[in-house]
Amino acid sequence: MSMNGSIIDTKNLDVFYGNKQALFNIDLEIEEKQVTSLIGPSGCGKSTFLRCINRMNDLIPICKITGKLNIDGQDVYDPSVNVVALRAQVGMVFQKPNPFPKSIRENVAYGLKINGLTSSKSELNDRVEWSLKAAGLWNEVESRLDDPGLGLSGGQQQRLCIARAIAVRPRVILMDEPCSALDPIATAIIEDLINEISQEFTIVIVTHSMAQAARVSNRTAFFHLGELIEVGVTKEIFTNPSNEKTQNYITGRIG
Amino acid sequence: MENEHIVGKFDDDLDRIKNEILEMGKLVKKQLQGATNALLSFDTDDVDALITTDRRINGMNKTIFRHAEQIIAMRQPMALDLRLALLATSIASELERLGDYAKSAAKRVRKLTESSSGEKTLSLIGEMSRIVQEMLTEVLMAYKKNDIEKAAEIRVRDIDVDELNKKIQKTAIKSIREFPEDTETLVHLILLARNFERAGDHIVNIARQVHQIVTGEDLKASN
Repeated sequence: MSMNGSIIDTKNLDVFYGNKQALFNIDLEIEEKQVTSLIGPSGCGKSTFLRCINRMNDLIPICKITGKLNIDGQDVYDPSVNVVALRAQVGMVFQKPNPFPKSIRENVAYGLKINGLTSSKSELNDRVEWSLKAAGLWNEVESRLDDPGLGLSGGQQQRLCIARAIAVRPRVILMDEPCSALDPIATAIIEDLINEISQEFTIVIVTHSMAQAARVSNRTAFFHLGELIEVGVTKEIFTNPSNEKTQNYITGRIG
Repeated sequence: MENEHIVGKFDDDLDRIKNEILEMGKLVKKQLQGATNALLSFDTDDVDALITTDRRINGMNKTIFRHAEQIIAMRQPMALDLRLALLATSIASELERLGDYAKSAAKRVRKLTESSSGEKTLSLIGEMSRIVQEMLTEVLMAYKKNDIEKAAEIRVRDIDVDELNKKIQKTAIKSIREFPEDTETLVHLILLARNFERAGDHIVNIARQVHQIVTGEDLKASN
């Protein structure tokens, strides 16, 4: 079923928080420029898996990771990997919109500046404009780029965070329940945006909304109690999953 | 086969639609029985009642559609649950068609004239109707219990019905040759047999849909 080839692949990935094992032996390939949803009940390990991809789990001292996680064949956990550079390649959008307490323009320009990705002021402005347009926010903010990002509505703030993530042109964007704090209209706008930007970026999204996973993703992976139960084409997973646990979960049955 | 839903009301909704299908199926079976009785006894007294009951069956089809529509709109069912709701509307439509066949068989009884030349054909039609009614009972059981083995048996059983239909045609044609004065009644009997043969096909469709509910596989498409 691989259309574009995989960009991320894991082999025997185990994650422990102290003595507690959160992920068991995960082998998962994520295809390039596709949207992959990670679904499963709370505590199933889907967010843990997401956070392995850009090494966000490094921030948790008791977290231990074994096995392999490659991006483009490069081991992300190799000691030679520069984590800051990795996170420029693998951006992240969180559940709660978290713009910096800065202007709209500065929010988007921030990553470009710290990574030294633009060489002139006009290039920087062009990239800010491109990012805001790609995030579907430009028309709403072009006249007030120097207003504070935190003055925007929740949905706009989330699109600002997406603009900030894509400004540095990452390979992969991780989204951890990006719509759970948004109303249905703002959610629909973000979902439409996910579809748009997936032409250019690989997107991995954790969502509690199965309807959202069904709507936005090409592929869906179902996690349960730290194990990857089933992964496949979204249409198949939501119409005829092969595993009974998946079926119980997506149909809301007692598993 | 399946566990209960976390939301109990969802199970109630699915149970309700299942019971409605079973009720409809039972009534359709009674119609087939009634039409067959009228036919075998050349008695047209019950034909009007059969026609009235067919309208009730049509109404049940609409009710089932509306309830399935509500489940889809209100509960956004997935996978097995979606098939339970969607295919309930298909099964109800098949039952509605079966009801139509029973009705038109009953109406045709009015056009028959009792004659000894048709006796053999008539008794074969009676045999055919009995098998079709049994198949209907079996398919309703298979639907009730999500029993795909039973559904597969019904698909095989339909071969008997098709064979009987061929036999009826041959017998009736032979009788037409021997008793040309009874041609009209014998042609009606051929058409009646065709009704029951088509009824068998619709029951096979239901059996396929039972298979599809349980497995997700559309046998018609994969054939």
